[in-house]
Order: sequence, then C-alpha cells, then structure tokens
Amino acid sequence: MAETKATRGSDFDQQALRRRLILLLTGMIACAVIAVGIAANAAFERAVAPELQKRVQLITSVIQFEVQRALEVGIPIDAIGGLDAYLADTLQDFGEIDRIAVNDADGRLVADAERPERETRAMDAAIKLIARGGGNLFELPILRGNQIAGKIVVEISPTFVETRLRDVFLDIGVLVLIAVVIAMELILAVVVASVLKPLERIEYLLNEQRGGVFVHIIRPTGLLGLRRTAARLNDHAVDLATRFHRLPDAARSAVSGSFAGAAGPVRLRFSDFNDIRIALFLFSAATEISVSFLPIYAEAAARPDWLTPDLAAALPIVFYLAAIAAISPFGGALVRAVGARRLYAVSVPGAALALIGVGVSDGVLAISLWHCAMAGFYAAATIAGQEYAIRAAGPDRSGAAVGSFVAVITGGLLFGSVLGGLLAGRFGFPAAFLVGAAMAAVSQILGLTSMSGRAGDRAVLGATTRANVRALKRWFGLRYLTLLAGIAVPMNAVMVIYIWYLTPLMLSDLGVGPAEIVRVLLLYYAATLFLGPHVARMTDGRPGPVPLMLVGGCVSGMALFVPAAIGGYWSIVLAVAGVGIGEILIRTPLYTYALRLTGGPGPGIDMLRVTERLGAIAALLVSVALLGALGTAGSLRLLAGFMLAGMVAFGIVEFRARHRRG
Amino acid sequence: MTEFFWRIWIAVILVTLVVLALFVLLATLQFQNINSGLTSERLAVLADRTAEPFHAPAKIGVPLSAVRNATALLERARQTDRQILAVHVFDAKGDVVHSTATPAPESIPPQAINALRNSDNRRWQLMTGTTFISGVNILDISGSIAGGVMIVYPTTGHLTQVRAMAAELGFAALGGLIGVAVVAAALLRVTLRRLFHKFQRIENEISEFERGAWRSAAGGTDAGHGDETEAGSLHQLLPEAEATYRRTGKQLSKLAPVSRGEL
Repeated sequence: MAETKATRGSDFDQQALRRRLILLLTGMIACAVIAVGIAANAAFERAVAPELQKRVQLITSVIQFEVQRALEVGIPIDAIGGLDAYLADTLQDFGEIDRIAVNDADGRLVADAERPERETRAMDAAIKLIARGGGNLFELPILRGNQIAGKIVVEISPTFVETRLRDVFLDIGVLVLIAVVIAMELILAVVVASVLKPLERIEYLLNEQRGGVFVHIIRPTGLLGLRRTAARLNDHAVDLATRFHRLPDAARSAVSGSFAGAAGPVRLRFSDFNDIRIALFLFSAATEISVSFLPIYAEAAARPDWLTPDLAAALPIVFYLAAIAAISPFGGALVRAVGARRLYAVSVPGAALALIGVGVSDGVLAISLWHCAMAGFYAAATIAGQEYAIRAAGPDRSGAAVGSFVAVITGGLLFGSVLGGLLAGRFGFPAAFLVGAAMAAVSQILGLTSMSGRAGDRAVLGATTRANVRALKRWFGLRYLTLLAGIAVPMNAVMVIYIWYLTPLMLSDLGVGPAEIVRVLLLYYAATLFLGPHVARMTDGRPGPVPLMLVGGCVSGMALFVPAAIGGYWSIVLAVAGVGIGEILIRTPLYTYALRLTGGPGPGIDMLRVTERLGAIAALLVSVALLGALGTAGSLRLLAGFMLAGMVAFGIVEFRARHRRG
Repeated sequence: MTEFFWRIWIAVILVTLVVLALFVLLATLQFQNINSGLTSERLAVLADRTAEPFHAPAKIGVPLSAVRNATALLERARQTDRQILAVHVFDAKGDVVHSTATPAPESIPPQAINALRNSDNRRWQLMTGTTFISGVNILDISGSIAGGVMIVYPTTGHLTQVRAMAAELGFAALGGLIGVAVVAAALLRVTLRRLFHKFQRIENEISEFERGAWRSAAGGTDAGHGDETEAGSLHQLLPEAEATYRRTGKQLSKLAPVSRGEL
C-alpha cells in the first residue's frame, strides 16, 4: 500500500484557507487587542490622574515656596538668580513634566526649563493615534503679600501614560502574531481531523471495496456522515469476512474477491505531513523556551575561574550548535534504523529531562552539558519529524512538507521564546524550564498518537533506503555539491553571522536594549511564518525550486549591502527583514531540490544537514576572526559577496546542466 | 456541518481569550509599576525637600536631634498629602529623633536600615507589606551617614487601584471577547463559505446515497444526485462499492451451507 494517495481530501487548497485565516484572525485579534488597549489607556489615565495632580501640587508648592521666600526679602521676581537652573533641577525629578515656567504678573516669561524634544518613535506615534492624549497645563499664582507677583506654569507630557504602555503594546503585538499562528494550527488540525483525514481513509477503502477487496477497516472519525460511512464500510469488511470463513473450503475458491483472514480485517494506517504539526510545534516551543534568556542565565551561574563571563554566556549556545552538528549526520540513519515514531518517542522525553537538568543546574558547565544533551535530542526528534513529513507527503508534495515543517518549527521557536521570556520574568528561570519540560511531555503524547501512520514505521523506511542506494552517484555530482557550497552554506552563514551575531552587536552599539533587539529579530522569523506557505506552493508548482533559490540569494545578498552602505537602525531592520525573506525563498526550495537530486530522504539529505551546521560554525568562526580587521561594514560586504558568488556559481552549473539535457 | 463550524469557532475564541488574558495581566503589571513608581518618586522628592534644612546642621556636626523647629518642618511635608502616615527624622543609628507620629517609634524598621546602607545614592525606597517607605540620607562633612528623613505611606490605596484596574481591564477584555465571538461567528461563515460548502456537499452525497439505498430496498427509485458536475468521487464510489458488497454478499449466501433452522 502506498504511504499516501492523492485524494479529493488531500487536494484541498490549504494555502488558500491559510491566507484567508491569516487575514481574518490577524484582523479580529488585533482589533480586540486595540479596543481593549484603548480602554486600558483611558483607565490608566483616569487611575493615575490623582497621583499626577499630587505631583504637580508638590512641584508648584516647592517652587512657590522658594520664589516667595526671595520675594519676601525684597528681590524682584525677574532678578532671582539661578531660577532657570533650579527649575531645570526640579524638572529632572519628574519624568512626566515637559516644561516648568515662571511668569511675572504681566505674563512675561521670567524663567523656564523645558525637556529636550523627546524622540518620537514610530510605535509612539501609532499609540498616540489610538490614544486620547490631551495636554495638561497647570498654573498656580505666586503671591507677595496680598498681590499676585507672577505665576508658575507646569506642562505635563500629553503622552506620558501612552508611552509607558508602549512595552505592553509591543509585547502584545508579538503575542498576537503567535496567537494567529496557534489559531491557524488549531483550525487546520480541526479541518484535517474532522474532514480531510476521515475522507481520505473512506475514499481509499471505497476504492478497495469497489474492486472486491474487503480486507481493511478504518477508524470511524470525523463529521457525522463520514463516521456513518466509515462504520458502514467497516461492517462490510467484517460481515463478508465472517461469512466467507463459514464457507466450506471447497466453496471458498468459487467466490471472487479478497477477504480478511480469520483474525478479521486489518485497520489501515494513513500518514499525512500535517500529522506532526501540533506535536512538533509544541516540541519546538518547549526546546526554545530559553532562547530569550539563556546567555543571561548562564552568565549568572557559577563558573570556574578560567571561564570569562562572556564565554560563559556563549558556552551553552556553542555546545548546542556542536551537538546538533554531531547528531545531524546520524539523524537520517537513526530514523531508518528505528523508525520516525520510535525515534521521536525516545528523543522527546530525553529532551524534557535535559530541560529539567538545565533548570536545576547552578553551574555553567552543568548548564552547558545539559543544554548540549537537549540539543542532541532536539536534533534527533526534529529530524524524525522532518523525515516523517517528507515520506508522508511523497515526492510530489515534498515542498509542501518541508515548508510546513519549517513554518511549524519557526512558529514554535517564536512561541517558545516569548513564553519563556514571560515566564522567566515573572516566575524565574527554573519555572520556564519546567514548563518547557511539561510541554515536551505533552508533545510526546501527541506525537505518539499522531505519528501512527506508516511513514513512522521502520519497514517502510527500509524499502526507501534501498531505492536511495541507487542514487549514490548523484550525491556527489557537481550539481549537488554546488547546491551545498553555493546555496546551503552561504544561507546558513548569513543566518548565523548576520542574525545571531552581527545584528545584536550592531543594535547594541546603537544603544538599543535587549527587548527591542529580540523584537527586531522577530521580523526575520515573521517572514518565514507568513511567506513560508506561499513559497512551499511555488516550490511544488511554478516557478519551481531553482528560480526561487536564485531570487532568495539575490534578496539576501542585496539586503546585506544596505546596512553596509548606509548604516543606522532602520537599515539594520530592513536587512533583517530582507534576510528573512531571502532565507525562506531558499530554505524550502533547497530541501525540495536536494530531495529531487538525491532521490528522496537518505544519506544525501544527511549530508545537506551536516554541511549546513558545519558551514554555519566555520563561517561564524571566520567572521569572528575577521571582524576586527574588516569592521562590521566590511564583514557585511564580504558576507553579501559570498552569498551572491555562491548563487551565481549555482546558477551557472544549473544552466549548463539543463542546457546539456536540452 | 454546524458541529464543524463550532469547532473552528471555539478554537478562535480560545486563542483570543488567551491573548486578551495575557494583555490584561501585562497591562495590570505595567500599571502597578507606573503607579508605584509615580508614588515613590513623589515621596522621594518630598523626602529630599524635607531633608534640606537638616543638611547644614549635619555638615557642621550638630546632631539632628538638636535641630530646632524640626517637627514643624516635618508637619509641613506631611500636610502635602493627607495619606502620608508619618515623616521621621532618624540619626546614624536609626533611632527616630523627630517624627510627626504620636507616639513616635523608637527606631526605623530594620529593612529601612538595610535599604539606606545598601543604596548607591542618597535616596532609597522600599515596599513592605502595607507601606511604601521612601527615605533620603543626610551626610556629615566626612560623607558618612549622619541620619536621614523617611516618609511612610500606605499601600492600601495602591493595591486597591491595581485590583480595580485588573477588574476594569478584565471587563474590557470580556467585552472584546464577546465582540470577537460575534464577529467571528459572522466572518468565519463568510470567509470559510467555500470550505463549508465543499464539506456540506460531502455530507449531502453521503445522505443522498443512504436515502437511495433505503428507498431502493423498499422497491422505490433512487433519490438522484443533486449537482452532477459538483459531485466528487464519493458520488461514484459509494454506489459502486455498495454494489460490489451486495453482489459478493449474495454470492456468499448462495454458497453457504443451509442451516438446520432453515430446513
């Protein structure tokens, strides 16, 4: 039996549904958050108004006291020395005040202190638009005896409350993004579980029974009509098998058709690349729960004297990359040896235990070793998930399977990093790791049930392996090697060097805080989430993987030239988005094309995985070594040149290969 | 199909509920920070201004307990806000030497002594279970702590405000959730119209097949198949598979040995 079969159910246009759902969910959830945000802003303003009033009273009374004391000793109001400096000093104590002024009785300005123009950021401008924001002016007269000698004017910033809500809005903006991803995952799971999978099973069984084969039954699930039909078809198989076995042996040969053995019909197990979505999403979120705080956690832990704080902060990440690079070559072989389901089932509890280990460790070496173990299990589990998806999808839909896998892993990373940050900030680091371990445990239960299809078995994988052996010559062909060296390595080098290394450094040099650096980096992942499905569709259809990779290489390379040439915050942000778009245009087509060139999952794909990891580590080390000599702009130009040169080399080899084939 | 629609609707509502709940939590925590920050900043400035008359005596070595008219100075500070519980002046050992409270405590709390010793600058503050405490150190000529001024403020009003904010935001979020629930019910029907229509056709095909089966069993005619062009593979597969089943079943019946009961 084939692992999958194109049916009307699986032909259903998931991408169109996804597009509509993204718009609908983003619109609805964002509107709800903005509406509650406006209410929150109004409530904040009302609630802090009495306190602001008390502060203004305090300021005016203090200034009034000082000015009146000068007036009482006969100094005219416009001759009080150092009044400007005194007002400026007072202004420093009150962040919400924009200006303090002292006027004489005729309204002429005697002294004032004004806060320098506050930097208006795009987010603040957006908040102002949705907030009520009115200026507040307070005036208090200055008395000398029974006469008004002048007045004190205090101006409160009209957006004091709004700008303090900015962080909440930024956090919630990220949460909305993640919520849309989770909602889509849930809705797609409902659609698949309620209709698509039950329909696929029924159509398969109907085709069998139409041809007189009554040896299988299916799980009666899904919508009511589909459940009834499944039960009916199952009964057909059971009924005929029972009646067939009651026949005398001589009579059996006269009956046309196939019937189940004495043990009864066998239950069919179908695979679909969507099976693993929720389990992998949760697992990815669980293992990435520490992304936002791991260097801080490691830096604060006890460390041996020979380890500097900087190295201590980076050590768990280095161990993580090394473990993934070490496991990647064997991941595919492990899947073939034990089956994707079993490998996933073994790896996920290991990762959960390692997460607990990281959470309860108090030394940086222990943290790094546990994190290293976690990365090893993570690599094995994700490779199991990826191989399951690719096998379940079959060769015609491998782009969709890889795209789906990348989107799920990225969505999980986003969700995990934000959730981890929130949990660590509120309940401490160990709590975040424990929640991660619990999520991994849930993911294992989901994985065991959802990966029950034949794509998770060992036997099926063995058959595919034999087919791969025939493709041995293609693994080391010029086209495949150019794909690895010209596309895979530069893409990973750009990701590791620019996204993980240079962007945080450059933004930090511009005085941008860690929270905002994380938000800028989220742009990179947002491109994967929102463009991923479209790229997967274009990979399987037109224009196909090669043009997509060439365009992706161009986009990444050109994007890197922007901060190298212009510099500044927005050029970095633009390049992060550009590199994100470039990468998603390359990643899914890269795997799909590699699968086509190597004839399916096997050692060829293992070679791609290990080349990606080793290339990334080597490129990072080279970049660190050259950064001092070349500077940031020089490094970026070199990286962009590397990407573009690889792309050109790949383009030439592809063109020649196709030209030869005619 | 209704069951399918509600499953999707519940998924959307659950996700929106989680987002709004997190928003309420984050916004309430932010309000708590803003409100306590505003209050403690004001108290710090007030403590600073109140301490001003004590700096000069401390610089020339006069004990803070010997400053004349100190209680009136403290009372002026206390009267800027009726909620202030007490304003104390304490010496280097933490003993209260002037206070607006009656009876005045003998010394400031141990947490306050820790806070003032650990503060990087002259100002310090802390929050105990029921009070905000804001203080400023007074230094002698050698730069050592000669004492300080401390203002005690109740947290009850602050906590009440935070709870009220949580409740208000909770109600706003509930309103937002109800709004999303209503809008989602309408928009999901429109957005997923084709999907529902397609799945409804599957249900219809199954129902038509079943109707045809029981009508033909009673000698009636087939119910027919609605939209022929739209009908998918189920439309063809169901009757064909059923026909094969019946044909095979009848064949088995003919070959089956006759049981005693039928004789």
